[in-house]
Amino acid sequence: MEKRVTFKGWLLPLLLIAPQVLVSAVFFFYPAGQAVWQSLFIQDPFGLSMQYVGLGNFEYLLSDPYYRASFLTTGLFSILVTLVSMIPALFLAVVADRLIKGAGAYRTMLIWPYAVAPAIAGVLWLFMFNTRVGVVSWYLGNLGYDWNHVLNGSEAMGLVVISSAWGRISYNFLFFFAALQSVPKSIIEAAAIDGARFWKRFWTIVLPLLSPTTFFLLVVNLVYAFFETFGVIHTITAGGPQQSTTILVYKVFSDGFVGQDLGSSAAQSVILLFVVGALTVFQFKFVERRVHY
Amino acid sequence: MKKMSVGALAVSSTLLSPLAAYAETEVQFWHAFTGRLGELVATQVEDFNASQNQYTVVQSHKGNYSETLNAGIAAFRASEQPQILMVFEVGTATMMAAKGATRPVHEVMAASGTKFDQDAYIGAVKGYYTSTDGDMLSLPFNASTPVLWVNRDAFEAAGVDPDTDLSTWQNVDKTLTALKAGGSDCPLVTAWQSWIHLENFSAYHDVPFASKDNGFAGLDTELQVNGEAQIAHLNAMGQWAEEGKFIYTGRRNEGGANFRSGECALFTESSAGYAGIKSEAKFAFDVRPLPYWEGVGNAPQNTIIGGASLWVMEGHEEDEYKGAGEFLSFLSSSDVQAKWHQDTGYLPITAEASAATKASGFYEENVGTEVAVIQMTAKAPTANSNGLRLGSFDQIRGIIDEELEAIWAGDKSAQEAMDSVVERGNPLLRRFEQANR
Amino acid sequence: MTISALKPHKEPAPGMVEHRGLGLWFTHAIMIFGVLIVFFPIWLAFVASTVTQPEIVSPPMPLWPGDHFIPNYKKALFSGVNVPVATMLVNSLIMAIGIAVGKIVISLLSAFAHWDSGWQDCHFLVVGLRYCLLPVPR
Repeated sequence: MEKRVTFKGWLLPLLLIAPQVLVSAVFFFYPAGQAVWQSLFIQDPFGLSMQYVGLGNFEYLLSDPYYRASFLTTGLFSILVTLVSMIPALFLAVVADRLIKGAGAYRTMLIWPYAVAPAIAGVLWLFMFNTRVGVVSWYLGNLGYDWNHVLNGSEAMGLVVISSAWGRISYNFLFFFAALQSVPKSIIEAAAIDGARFWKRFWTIVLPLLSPTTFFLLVVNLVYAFFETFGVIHTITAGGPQQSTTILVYKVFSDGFVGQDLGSSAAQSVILLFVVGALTVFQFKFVERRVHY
Repeated sequence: MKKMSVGALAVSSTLLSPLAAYAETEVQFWHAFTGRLGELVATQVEDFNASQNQYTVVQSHKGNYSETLNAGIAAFRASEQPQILMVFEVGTATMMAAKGATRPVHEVMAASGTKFDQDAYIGAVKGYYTSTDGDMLSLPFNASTPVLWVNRDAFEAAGVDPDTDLSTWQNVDKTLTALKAGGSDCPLVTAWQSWIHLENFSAYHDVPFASKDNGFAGLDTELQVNGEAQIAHLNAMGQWAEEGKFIYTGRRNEGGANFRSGECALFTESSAGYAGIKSEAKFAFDVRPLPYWEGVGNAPQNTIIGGASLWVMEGHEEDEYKGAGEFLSFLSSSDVQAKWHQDTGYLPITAEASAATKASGFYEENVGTEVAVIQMTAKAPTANSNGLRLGSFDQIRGIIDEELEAIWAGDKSAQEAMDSVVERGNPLLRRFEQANR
Repeated sequence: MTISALKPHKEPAPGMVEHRGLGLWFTHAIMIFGVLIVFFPIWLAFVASTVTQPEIVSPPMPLWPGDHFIPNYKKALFSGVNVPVATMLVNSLIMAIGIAVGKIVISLLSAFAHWDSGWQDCHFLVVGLRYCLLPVPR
């Protein structure tokens, strides 16, 4: 027999939902509406004059090669961050799963990076790779490699990816570890008894059973890489060199706050809205199909 | 539920706090200074408040230059703007175009009844912030100009005579070669590359940076940084970068750390670097005038200022404007200006303060501190060396920085990079023009 | 099937199949190595907090803690750069508690009302739209 909550009247549930709806309206829908409205105008920073340009801002954006490039940059960046944060996490979780003693201590040390705010993580990694005083860049210099992320776009991207992914390794590790622990031991033992070695067990049994977790982490990490990495990029490269680390979200800030061009910034937000919508649809339609529940 | 009311209490107490500060007429002053400069500003404000009891100036630090400007703009849109806002020189066009948001300083000071003589202010310093009619729109607060810093010990270590004449880039070129051959890892480093090697470069050689008198004469201005002189200079620098004679460290003042630690022999940077260099450098150093290319344009003309000015914002009461006027007049007074100049290395804004400093023997005791003043005032400014008044200029500087980085990395030639700057920067100028019609 | 049933049956520890002495040691080694790499930046930050400024800016930085732990932490907690860190910690704590409690309460209320109240579709639409509006800077 299913236990369900049923409400006799309609007023109580309405009141219960009201705070959520109110918060959403004030903090999400209203600013979103404002963004759509502002994207149709060119205005001066002080808001003293507004010129209606219809889709002019969107035309201006889409004809800017740097804006188009930032789509690619964002895509590359998000994929790299997701890979760099999920694969080591899965690896560490699998290794930790094979240990009983000491797993607690390892887990504690692995959680600490997650507690570091992204912007601070950015400063930490910048400090290590600083072209002058950084520990890592100094030892690299001794080995003959001249690290300079200020001028080299690929190095800048690498640094920004590692800084963003580092804290997420902990987060992903926790989820993977918990998911691994919940894999029924009986299945593993049965496969081992039947002669399956570790890798075969991993690919054919463990990984498919992990797929709900993997899918969830994929979505969460992509959202993180898209929207919450602004602090890291701002601290380390400010979008440079030559905009090679300017992701879409960073450009919104850069044009809106630094450039005081609110029309263009609002138009970018609207475009991002559609991008996220499309991504969400894609994820749930195609990727979720492969998840085994 | 109990915890939510704690939150509500916290919110309401913050809303009520401004009421507690009401006493005399208050003048809000927002600025971008921290550290020692912040302390010096705080002292100035305290001195003013102590000298009279009609007005109280409240100073608050809002972040760096960009953040302070944004805070001011956001505050204006929310009708919470301060009376006095510090805006860096890059934001001048934005402030000037916003006629309903600011009140010209000459009006405020004249109306406040204090003694105000526009001619008392040094022409090259106030020119940036003066309208084409000759009226001061904002008060220059901290103005500096680029000079050449020389690490004498590094020169000697590389076997080069520290007294070599470095007044022309031709001579600097030879010296860089000698330094590199003598084993120097960092012959030349720079700060604020766009400001020094493009903006000031153009003014110093009397070549235009943008049309319409660098934007002074109209909003329909276009960039002209791909002129012969600029390309030649950037080609030379690109060559030096390739040969390891010029080390690029960053767009802002990252190079300062390299120079102060003794790594580098030559450093092009603001005269206001004096404070940091004097306290941190463990080597003997010189201050020399910025080099110029002999035979190019009208060199040496005069250099332009960088730094910030104080703007008065609209939307306040008359007595608050009187207070603002009194405070600005206090800041312009000779004693305050002379002390500020001597403590920080920023230029004095009045001729009187400059003369007072000279008379006190400061320049003899602190050799090199007069270089910046002379460099700026030796010749009367031309249409190309009054400064820049370009909209969206913070963004345009970003574009310039990117393209310069492409030159240093060897990805683009100077011609390609500057053509790209013109191509990318002009649409921004057009958007600014359209937004401020 | 019958042959495997005759194999001596040692009860394997949970998660630990094919338990071998050398394999265990190796597993620990890999784990330690991985954890050290991930933990390294935090270690470096800790070391930097225990040495003096000149030691940090003259490369290479020391990799082992120095002896300035107490003076540095005292300075940070009670004077800080602009604001003492102790004050900032208290502020963060108040904010974090407030936000966490507020979020949980609101979501709890609305989730409770989500089922079989007739308002499910409206509620789902609201939350779904919120998810789509994440990119809009507030």
